[in-house]
Amino acid sequence: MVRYDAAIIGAGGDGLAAAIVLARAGLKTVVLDRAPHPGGRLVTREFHPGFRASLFLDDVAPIPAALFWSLGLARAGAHLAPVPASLALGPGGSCLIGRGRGRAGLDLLAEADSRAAAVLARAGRDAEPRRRRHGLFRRMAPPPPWPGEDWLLPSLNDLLAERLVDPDLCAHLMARALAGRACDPFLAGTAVHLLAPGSGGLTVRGGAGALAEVLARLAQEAGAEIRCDAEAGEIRRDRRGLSTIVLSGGEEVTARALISTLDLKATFLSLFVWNALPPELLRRVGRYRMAGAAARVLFALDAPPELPRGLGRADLHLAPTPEAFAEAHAAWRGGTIPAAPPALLRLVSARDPGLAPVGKAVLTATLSAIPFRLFDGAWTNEKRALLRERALAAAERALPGVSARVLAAEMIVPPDIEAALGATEGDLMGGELAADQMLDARPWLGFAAPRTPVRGLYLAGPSTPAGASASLASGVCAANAVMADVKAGRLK
Amino acid sequence: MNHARIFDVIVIGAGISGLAAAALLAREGRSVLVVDGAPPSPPPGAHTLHALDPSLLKALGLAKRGLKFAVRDMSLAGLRADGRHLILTRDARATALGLASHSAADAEAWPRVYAEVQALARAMRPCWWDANSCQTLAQLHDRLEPFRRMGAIAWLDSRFESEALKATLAFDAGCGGLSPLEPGSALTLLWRAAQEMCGLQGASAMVAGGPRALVDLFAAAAQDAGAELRTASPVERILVEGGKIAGVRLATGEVLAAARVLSSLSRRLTFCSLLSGSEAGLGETERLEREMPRVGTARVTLTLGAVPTIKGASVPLTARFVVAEKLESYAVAHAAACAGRLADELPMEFTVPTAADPALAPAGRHLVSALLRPVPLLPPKGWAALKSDLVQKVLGALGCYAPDLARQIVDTDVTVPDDIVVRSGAADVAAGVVHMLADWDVRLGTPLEGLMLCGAAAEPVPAISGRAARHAAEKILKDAKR
Repeated sequence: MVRYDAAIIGAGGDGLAAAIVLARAGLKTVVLDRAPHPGGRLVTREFHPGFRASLFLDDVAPIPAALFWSLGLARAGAHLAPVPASLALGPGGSCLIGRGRGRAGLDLLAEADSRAAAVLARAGRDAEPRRRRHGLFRRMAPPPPWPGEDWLLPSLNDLLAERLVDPDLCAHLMARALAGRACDPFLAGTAVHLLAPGSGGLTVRGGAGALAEVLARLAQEAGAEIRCDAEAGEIRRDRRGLSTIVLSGGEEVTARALISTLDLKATFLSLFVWNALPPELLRRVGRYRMAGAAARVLFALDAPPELPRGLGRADLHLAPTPEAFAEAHAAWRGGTIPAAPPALLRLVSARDPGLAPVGKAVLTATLSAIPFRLFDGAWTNEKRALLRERALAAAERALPGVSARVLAAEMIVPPDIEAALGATEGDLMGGELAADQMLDARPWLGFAAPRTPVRGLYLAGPSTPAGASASLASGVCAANAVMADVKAGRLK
Repeated sequence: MNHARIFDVIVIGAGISGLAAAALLAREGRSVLVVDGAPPSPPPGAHTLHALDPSLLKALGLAKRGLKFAVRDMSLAGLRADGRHLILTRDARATALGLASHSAADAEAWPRVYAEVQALARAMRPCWWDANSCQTLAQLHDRLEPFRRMGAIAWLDSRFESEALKATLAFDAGCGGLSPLEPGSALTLLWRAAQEMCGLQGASAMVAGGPRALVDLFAAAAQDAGAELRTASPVERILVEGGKIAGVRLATGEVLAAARVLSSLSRRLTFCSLLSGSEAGLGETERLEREMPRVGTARVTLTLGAVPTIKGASVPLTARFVVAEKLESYAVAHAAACAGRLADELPMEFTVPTAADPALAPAGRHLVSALLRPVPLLPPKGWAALKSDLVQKVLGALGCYAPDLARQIVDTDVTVPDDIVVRSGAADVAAGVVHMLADWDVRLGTPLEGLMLCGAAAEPVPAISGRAARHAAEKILKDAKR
């Protein structure tokens, strides 16, 4: 039995980033993952001979600049670029953002980015050890509000309509924020989606999997151990505060600190024996709302579709009206497949020619508001075929002639995401974005992530304030919290 | 002879709020004129009372004038298809006993949660009753935060487990026009718990003689205090001179001068139909147009030839009955209403007013009044097309619990959101968290000097309360003193 300083569950971006930080600080670190390769959701593989695509996401969420440089990603060979442009094809015509077009939209996006950055900074600061506060009044004063709190309560539609005049631009930004989500933009409290938009992050050359390779290499160079095919079965805790992870093969890994990069529900409901945690905590975790709503279709095309020059690399939002988003949300809540799910098309091979053979193309479609549970039973092959038809019909409307060029298609629905990644209900966001599950209230008010009610267990990943809107940041927050607690002698 | 008299204050709308404000001002010696196009009439959406302002009743001496309640404390009954109806009263222990057959955990939790909510709601009264919000909000920040952020569904799920209890309680969360998924709907429940009727916190009551009797009392109080009432012609325009209020012009063309105008209509009606865009501030008018709420309330009144009987466990007919099988049906109905449709399963609340006050109907006749919420505010084809569908849905739903009802019907009367909005402007406010926790000055005030709101729309949650009228009148009196 080996004893580590820190064990990290999940070798995704967050887990590997945490491992790099901890190992560089000299802690003996191990990363465990049940998949045969590190990367988690950052995985790019061949889905048809010669055709490669990232299965779960084409773009990764933004990485804070300071983190990008301190981890040394550029030196290690990661090529990241912002999405060059995005184009919305709405009922009222088309609308382009990028390269100086759509000024008002860009201003709003810049504001959203700066708010998200401020949120990350605040989350990072909260993870560090509390400085001792002097004086009675300091203690009595409520903590300052989180940046971005004024976006907690308005509805997305109101916020956009207040800032922007052009309804097409509103629909475009709405589609950009809600890609892969289920959300009624008219309901109050939906403006938070702008702080963690569903699309418009960073494109990785070589696919998302390339970023995972770089991170894994950096972690290993720093001295961390990465163990794949090692599924954490159960966590046991002894009286001294040491945690032992029993792997599904029966082997045991003991560590002073554990960082879980799984979502909140997977962490507390699947890693512990049912009676090891206080029932009140389990009930609270049970009430945490997940909102898995993304389905992906990967198309291998035998020729790239004709597109105006330069637009091949853009995100193509088939942006419906706000009313259609509301309809899709209602269908999603009722467990039915929406008749016209909002879709986002990306010709990923135009951005990154290495993904398809010469002269061919890879097109991905990300569909929103696809329920995890259908009201009439399981996701059968017929239902998958139906959804594939709908995705293809949507693609055909935007790119005429594309359906004749399809060589093969692979379909990923929310249950597939749960099965592949362990993300509860296939929700890659790790929980619904709502006023009571966002910012300081993520996963709930008073949780104070990355620390958890279980001593020695830290939560990273998408169910934390930092993890909702950025890549890698939540892992680093958790790692910083571990190091601070080690220094303060709070871990045995 | 147009400028015959100059009034101190002109009040637009002879509803309860308008009359209350007029009475309070006239009592202090102001010359007050109440203008409306119709004689004082009860608000069409009214059905029970839960938020009348106690200090207003005291100030106007309504009890001495003969205000009587037919029911002082209506219990809340959740009707269930299986006959195991749920009865929630202000007696937490009795309620817990009744809950035990639905869920042991809820029966155990109810007294605790009920006491906790009542205590927090009472602590919120300085904010919602008096003009003292900042201090209260700062003191209660931590306890209030979950209510500020959660939707009613999330909050109810966090406290209770039985669907019957949650679905019954959730009806009140919609009275501000919010979906139970939205933040603010849990706060609406808290607001309801903060109200008081007949000295009982969180009670619902019914006035003897119906809402009509209540309006008559207010009208008499206003007139006795010296306020003048003109109900021949509605106000067509509020006159503004140099950014200040100059008076009003009636539809007949008559001009009445006053330096102060109180509007008991909603902010939207006041700004968009009584003022021109440039007077009200273009941004303000635009915002009001944009933030038009999309759901409303409808009311169906059935006249029956016999006493309705409800099958299953016995329930007192003086209760208010909530018909909603599932918590989710509120969210579904809200989404359907936003899309301009009626949901298959419409959540509703109904009362039997004649059970407590037989004088409301001719001898041998009985009334059932059903309040449906949420329903579309502006259906694409208009309400005329939906009316019969609405009645069918009400009869279908009530038929499950009172099978004989359909045969007993003598007459049907439908009040759709159109009527409610046009006549009182009460339903066209979307009460969000910011509105509910704002200062009274913000809710009452307008950018125009001399113009204030005093109606249901200026309350934290639209309701028949008169509290906005009291605050508006107090503000005018205070300003004059200064």
